[in-house]
Amino acid sequence: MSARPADFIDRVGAECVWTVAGESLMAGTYAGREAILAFFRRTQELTDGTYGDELNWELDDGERQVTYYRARGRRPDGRELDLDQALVCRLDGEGRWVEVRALPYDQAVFDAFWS
Amino acid sequence: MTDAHPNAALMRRLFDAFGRRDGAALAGMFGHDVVWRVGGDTPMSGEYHGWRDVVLFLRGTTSQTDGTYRSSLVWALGGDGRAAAVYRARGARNGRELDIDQLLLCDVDDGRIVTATAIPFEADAFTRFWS
Repeated sequence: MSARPADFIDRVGAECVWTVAGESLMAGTYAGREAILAFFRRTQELTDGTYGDELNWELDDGERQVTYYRARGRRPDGRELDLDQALVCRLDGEGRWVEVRALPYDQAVFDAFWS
Repeated sequence: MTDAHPNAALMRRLFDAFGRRDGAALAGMFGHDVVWRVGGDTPMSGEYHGWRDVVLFLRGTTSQTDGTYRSSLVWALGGDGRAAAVYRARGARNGRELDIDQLLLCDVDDGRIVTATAIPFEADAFTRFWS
């Protein structure tokens, strides 16, 4: 599968559970497509729309997927994010995410940006 | 199937060799200028350049844990030029215990790992253990 970050929204299954580790405003478990899409919107609201992902690569076998990407954004107070991150996902039969674990390369950098 | 790709098999061989503490086999899986990256702010965090330093770093996980450190492959995916592995990392150190999943992201060239990025699923537990 080769998909673009712009396709992220289409990949979220109705019952998907998305977990963000750490101690930031974004940390937590988001259950269900609506909650996850609200989480996506929050990343835009907190960064004045500057948050974006650039896909490095991804792999899947139809059941599991790893997506490796660069996350960038800027908070209104000047904090900047430029960090490798990964998603470890379980897929349904149609290739949609049913479980996602979001992993930043550096949790402290991630938390400092999103706190 | 991506788990049948030769680079998924490379991940299986990597974890098998690490389990056997087979430094020569490990060295043979790394490119000469391999870079191994560990995030966070622990004594183990940083970038290790070259196969010698990477093998020394991997040996360090054993010496820092009185030989208790183990990494068990849970699953691996491979594709052209890349591979990923989820593994369980366990060990004991200074009265602290580690038992968490970790992710390894690799770029592969001509059958050898040229970059590896290790990311713990639970950064706090990782930091507490290795600090």
